[in-house]
Amino acid sequence: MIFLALLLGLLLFVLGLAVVMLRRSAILLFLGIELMLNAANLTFVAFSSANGALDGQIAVIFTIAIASAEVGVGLAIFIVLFRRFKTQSVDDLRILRW
Amino acid sequence: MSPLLLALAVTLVKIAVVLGAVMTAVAMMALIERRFAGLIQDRPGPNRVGPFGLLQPVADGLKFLFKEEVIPDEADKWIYLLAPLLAFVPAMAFFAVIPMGTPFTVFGIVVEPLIAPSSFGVLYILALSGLSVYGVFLAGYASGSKYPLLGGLRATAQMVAYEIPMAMALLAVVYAARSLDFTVIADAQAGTWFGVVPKWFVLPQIIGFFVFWVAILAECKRLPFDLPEAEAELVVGFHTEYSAMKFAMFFMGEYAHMIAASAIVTLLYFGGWHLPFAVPGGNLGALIAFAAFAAKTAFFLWLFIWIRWTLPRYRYDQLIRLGWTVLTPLAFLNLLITLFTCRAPGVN
Amino acid sequence: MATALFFAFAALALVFGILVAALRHPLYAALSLVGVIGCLSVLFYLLGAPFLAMVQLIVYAGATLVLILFVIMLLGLRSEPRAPEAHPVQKGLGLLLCLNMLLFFLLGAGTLVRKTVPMTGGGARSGVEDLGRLLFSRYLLPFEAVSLLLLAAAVGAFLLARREWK
Repeated sequence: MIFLALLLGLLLFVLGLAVVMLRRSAILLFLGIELMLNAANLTFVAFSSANGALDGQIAVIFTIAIASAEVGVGLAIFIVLFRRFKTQSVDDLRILRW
Repeated sequence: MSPLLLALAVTLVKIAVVLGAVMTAVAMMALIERRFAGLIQDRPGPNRVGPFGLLQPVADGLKFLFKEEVIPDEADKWIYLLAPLLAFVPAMAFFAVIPMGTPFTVFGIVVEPLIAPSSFGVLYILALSGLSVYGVFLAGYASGSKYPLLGGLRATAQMVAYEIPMAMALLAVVYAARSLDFTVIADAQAGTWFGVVPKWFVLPQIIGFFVFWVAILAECKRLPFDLPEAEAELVVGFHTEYSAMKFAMFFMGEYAHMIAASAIVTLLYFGGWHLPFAVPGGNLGALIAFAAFAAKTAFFLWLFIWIRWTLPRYRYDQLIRLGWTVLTPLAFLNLLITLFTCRAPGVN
Repeated sequence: MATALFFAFAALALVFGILVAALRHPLYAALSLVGVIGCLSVLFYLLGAPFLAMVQLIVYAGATLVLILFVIMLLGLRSEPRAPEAHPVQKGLGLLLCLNMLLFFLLGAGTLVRKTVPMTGGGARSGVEDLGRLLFSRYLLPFEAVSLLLLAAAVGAFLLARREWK
């Protein structure tokens, strides 16, 4: 069961990574990051269950709190950018380049 | 019969009984709400079908069954069909962890009036009330029409905002009872002060009760906070485009949510099935306990209706301001008071 | 029974995860992520972390994802007609990195984990109380730091998303 959980964690993490690598829509990037964080959480819980120690579960509590903070600020930035540039693609946001 | 099979059978029977009872209560509430509205507005209300209009819910149900199912062209079909389910299922799932009295004996089997004994029922309730946003939200989005969209947006912001004072008020009760288990919380309120005043949490935590009740009115989208379905502005908000049984699912979900909320208020603040005087033991005691629980729950259901036909609707900015600048600080104040007045854990 | 449930929900989580990666419409992808989160909550429960299972639903599904969905609905986001996609070279490199990651963990770290971590499963179900004790003793400082971070994030988000922002 624990090995299966680790495997699932790995697969979900790679899927999240693939989303971040392949998509250019900012909101989809968010979803990819959340998927990776969830995969990491699952791995933490699986190791915690394997070791019989609770420290892994504490790490998950912190991850969840930080993820919600990240989404709050990130979405605020996204809303501002979307209102200004009328696009959700992060490739179109290159006013600092030239 | 093996013990596992017996437990399974008992649980299935309990689920059937609770589902039946809740659906009956939903039907009765629909009638009582309209009769009581008639009473307040000095008109008879629905009194044509059966004696005192008692068969009105049956007539309504038949009407819902035979109405035409309409799916708007603009709708996002799958999500449109999924939304009523997501509104109905969490509302019913509340009842899994709500204990309704003390254990009783049937055919030599001790039965607890609770489907799933859980050591973290309070968290389960919070999780479900978080999930019940999805039905409303997706209904608003998938209808492909502007009034449902506005209603859905309003409902989402409102329900997320009022979850914070609700959870903070809950936290004070959990601290006072030292448990997340509804049975333990109810039992912590047994007994009396000075032999007459019941040890209900509503007395030391009157602020918490007020905050919790107002937050619940908002969570159930009831007047004075029914902005998501304000008839005068948004037709009926997020379920404007729904007809027949799909509308009935929203309707039943809303009433089931109200019944669950009343039962939870009873358990958290009004001692659940405990009365300020001694009751006999055995099955008679269990019956009295259940009757006390049902009566208290019915009182809060009636309070829902009373408030609906008494208070005018809030404006949306007033609603959000009330949630963030009045209820949330009050909930924190209540938590502080509870922290200082209750014995610290571990110091017995 | 528990193992069968675990298999079922792990498979379901994987399906939803693939949907998150495959779907281009932001709303559908976000809803698939809600599915992943729900399945993971069940897995957490089965792995002996009932508190985390509930927190996962309350915070992740009930607040974080609702916020993302709210923004998708507020801005009326759809999959853009000219779908924002990466450059083919970027795409190839990205896929290569993903595959590399997968193989590295599967082969390298996998064997390491199998050698060092007992796969029997402690099965110690954690009560809320034990978690609380640990959180407020050994992890008190990180806890306070996170509370500050949340406050800063709340203020920052409010400041950024104001309508008058120039």
